[in-house]
Amino acid sequence: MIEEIYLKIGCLVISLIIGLFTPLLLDGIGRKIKARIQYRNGPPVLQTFYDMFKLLKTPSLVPGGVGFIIAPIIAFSAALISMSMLPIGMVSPISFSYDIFVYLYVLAMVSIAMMLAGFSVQNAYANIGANREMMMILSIEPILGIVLGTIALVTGNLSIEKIVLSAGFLDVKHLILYIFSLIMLTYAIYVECGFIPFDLAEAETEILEGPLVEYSGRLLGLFKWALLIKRFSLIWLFTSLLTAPLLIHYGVSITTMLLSFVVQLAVATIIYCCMVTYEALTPRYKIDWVIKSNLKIFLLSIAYLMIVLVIT
Amino acid sequence: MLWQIPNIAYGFALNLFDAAVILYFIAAILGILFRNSKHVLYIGSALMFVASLIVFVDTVSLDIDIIRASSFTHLEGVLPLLNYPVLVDPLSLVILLVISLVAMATAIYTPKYLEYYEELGRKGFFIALMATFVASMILIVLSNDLLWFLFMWEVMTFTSYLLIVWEYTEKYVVKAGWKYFVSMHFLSTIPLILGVIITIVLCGTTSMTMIKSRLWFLDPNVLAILYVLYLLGFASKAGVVPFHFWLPDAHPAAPSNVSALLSGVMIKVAVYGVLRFCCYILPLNAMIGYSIATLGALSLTIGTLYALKQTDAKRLLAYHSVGQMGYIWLGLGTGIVLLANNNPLGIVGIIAGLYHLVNHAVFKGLLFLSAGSILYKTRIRNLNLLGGLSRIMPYTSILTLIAALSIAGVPPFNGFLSKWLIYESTFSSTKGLLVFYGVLALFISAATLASFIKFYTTAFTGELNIDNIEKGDVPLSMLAGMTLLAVFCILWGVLPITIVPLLQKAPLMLAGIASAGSVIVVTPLWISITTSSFSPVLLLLSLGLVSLPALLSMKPKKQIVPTWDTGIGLTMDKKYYRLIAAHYYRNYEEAIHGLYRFGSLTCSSLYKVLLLVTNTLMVINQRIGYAVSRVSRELVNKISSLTGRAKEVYLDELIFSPIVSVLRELSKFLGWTVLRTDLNTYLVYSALYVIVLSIIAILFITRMMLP
Repeated sequence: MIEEIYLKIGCLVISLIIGLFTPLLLDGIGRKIKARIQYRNGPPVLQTFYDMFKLLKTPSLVPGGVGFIIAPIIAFSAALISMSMLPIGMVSPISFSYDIFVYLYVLAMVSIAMMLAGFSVQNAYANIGANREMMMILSIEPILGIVLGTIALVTGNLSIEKIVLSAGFLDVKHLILYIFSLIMLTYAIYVECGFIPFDLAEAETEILEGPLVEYSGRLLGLFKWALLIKRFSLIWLFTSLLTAPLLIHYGVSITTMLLSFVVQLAVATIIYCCMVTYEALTPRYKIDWVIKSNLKIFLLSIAYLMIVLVIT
Repeated sequence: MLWQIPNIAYGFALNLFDAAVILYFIAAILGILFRNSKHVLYIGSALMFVASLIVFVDTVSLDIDIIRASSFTHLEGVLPLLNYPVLVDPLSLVILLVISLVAMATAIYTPKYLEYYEELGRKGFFIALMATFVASMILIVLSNDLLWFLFMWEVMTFTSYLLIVWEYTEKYVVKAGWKYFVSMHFLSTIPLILGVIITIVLCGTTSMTMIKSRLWFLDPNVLAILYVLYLLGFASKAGVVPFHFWLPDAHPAAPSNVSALLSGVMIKVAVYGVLRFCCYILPLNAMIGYSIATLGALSLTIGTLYALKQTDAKRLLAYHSVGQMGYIWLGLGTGIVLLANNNPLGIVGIIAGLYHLVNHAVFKGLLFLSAGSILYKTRIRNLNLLGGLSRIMPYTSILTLIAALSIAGVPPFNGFLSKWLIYESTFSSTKGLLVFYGVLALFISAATLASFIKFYTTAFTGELNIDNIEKGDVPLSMLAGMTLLAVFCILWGVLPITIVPLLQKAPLMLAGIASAGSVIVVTPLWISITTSSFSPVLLLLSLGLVSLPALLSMKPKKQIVPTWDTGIGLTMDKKYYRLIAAHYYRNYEEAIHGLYRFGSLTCSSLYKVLLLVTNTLMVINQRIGYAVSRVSRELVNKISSLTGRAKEVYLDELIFSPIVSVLRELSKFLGWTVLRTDLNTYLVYSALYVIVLSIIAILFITRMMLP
């Protein structure tokens, strides 16, 4: 019993460490990949670390009130603590909850902080960016809801810990549905991560990073870090739903635990690289198009929900 | 015989309720006697506060007693001084808690706020109305007698009408008030009267507890009629779609402190009615659960999506009352369906619905009071014209942000916990329809967030763009009233143990299941249900543990700089360098405009159908009249040709004259409403009325025909 608690605390430490630093590394790798696709040499892999270090050294200019200062801090902490809800390999770290809805809402706090920050200044660029972020959430939330609903129906659980456990022992019919749900989850995660063409809220090339336009120095660095952690956290959620059920058949021992962690990390890196590659090959779209395509996918996913309801 | 021991305590509890009600009456009488006095306003508010405090404390302590004596299910008796038949059980305690809490906050808030209506005078009268309004709601919830229930229901409707039309100099207020008055009588009071009459006639008693024991033997057809009547009566009072049309007009028209009571409390009394009548007096039924859940899902979707479009502060809040009411009904409906199927998860559904009820009362009350504070300070309700108010009203700004985050369901505020329980119960219900409703609820939660980010940021953030406004926040007493509600927004979000034990007892009244303890467990740290668990305290702790070092290492210098102006200077006034409320989420609204068009199309086609039905009914009536008069004439002719002489008999008059005279009076009354609202409302109401009456008549006739 006590050993289990030590294990869980150890997992918490690991999850916080990978939550803090892997996103920066992955971002560096992503920049390298993008550069290669565009026939550039690209920055070194650790460039994001250097950028972040420099930003965090620089003092900030504050054009807003207290909320303006608190927003990036809330975003950062929410993104980081969301990592503690996800399993590391097979073991869940000690946490306040493993519930999938709680996870969703804690992660949403990053977006909420960003929107409040964007709307809190008298700047049309920031406001437009925050406005777009909200519309993106509005269009992707029903799809995410249906994905979670189907996962809940297929596995009969709502806690990430238990979903991972029971997903390893599904029969063929349910397994196919589970895989379909994961495919839809990939789309939802790609949108939520804000890769092109869903980067409309920040949109460096168009509205000068939207909500972040007024931020500078430390606060900007913290906000960017928070957004990277959020990306990684979503991808980590996906990988834990994917890899842990595969390895759970081999029993729980130190080796399988370590193995599952390594596999999960590798899969997360691969998925991140795939997403970045897709991003580099995709043009940007207008927000109208994005909302309409998301609504269409929502209608499709309702059809899928019906199928799941009939089958289960 | 456990009755004997705690009896003294319970008698004392009844005495306290009695005292509170009498205090309300004293406030009312004082107010009526000195209707123009300003001092009576203060005295009356103080009396109201004390009375509400008594009810609050009594409710909380009774709850503790109930937990201690687990065999105790409900408390029957009479209020000693008023001789009023009383039924107190955990369900009524939940609603009493809500009423007393919001009443306390508004009692503190009211005296200063009424300065806004200085030119209308009659301040004493206002507090008299408000005290009567609150007292009537408390007596509704306490009542064990159907007739008293109806009487108090009518008192509540009438006083709330008078409060809504307080600003009678404005034309739209009078119109909205009248719309409310007529809607309530046609859609709520009449069905309730019919239902209560049927119940009393069938059971031969007016006591709820007696009726409960006798109704089990009733024929299912009659039960179905009763279900429909009660559901209609309470759904229209609760402002659930499709009976919500009066609410977005009436709630904004009232003074803001009254809106807080209307949205925070009055529509909750209707929820109490549904639970009391459809699930406690009448037996539990899965169909009624599905209807409640469907109405809930409809109203949460439609109410909130319409709220997204609003740019009037109070109208936006009123549409959200429809939407959040949907959440409450969805939770309760899910609970009833599952309980009727003997699934213990249903308890979570009921608790989720009641939890959201309690939470909604707190944050919606606070939001309406905030809107009132904005009005008090700026006299502006249009969000397009507001901006930057946090620079002059910092405290109001923080309190509004708390309420906005609570209603949007951001952890660790209270709205999140109840929404979470609603998702848990719907998503793990394994019933397809309910899962779909759960998806809708999850989506609408995002729409609520969108709407409240708009509400907060347009009014409070950015730079102040209102000229000629004096510095300083609203008066301290108004802030105190709002703070009281804000405290509970946080308390019930962070420490669910302060409220869930009270809610846990309520579903036991409905289902007769031994204990809710196995389904939902609350400890100071954790709230756990069978499917998963959550600890708001630990969430807050870990948020703090991460943010504190971040905040300290940030050392944010208070170096205030102007915002970035594109580098070459703005070509416009800085006032316009931001989004106004009308611009928010425009692309999204355009993408779903089909939904809005569908809504208006449905309304107009429904209206046409109702008109058609009215016309057909009128033609049929005419035909019947002609036929009867011809028959009677023929009869008279025949008789006179046989006997030579006969007294003229007009069968039609004999049969129809009483009905005709009733209808004539009714149409006179309705004609009066035409002057106050419009012709459409009149026609639609008369049609609805005729349809309801004919359905009941048909059902009764078929019932009598059958052996």
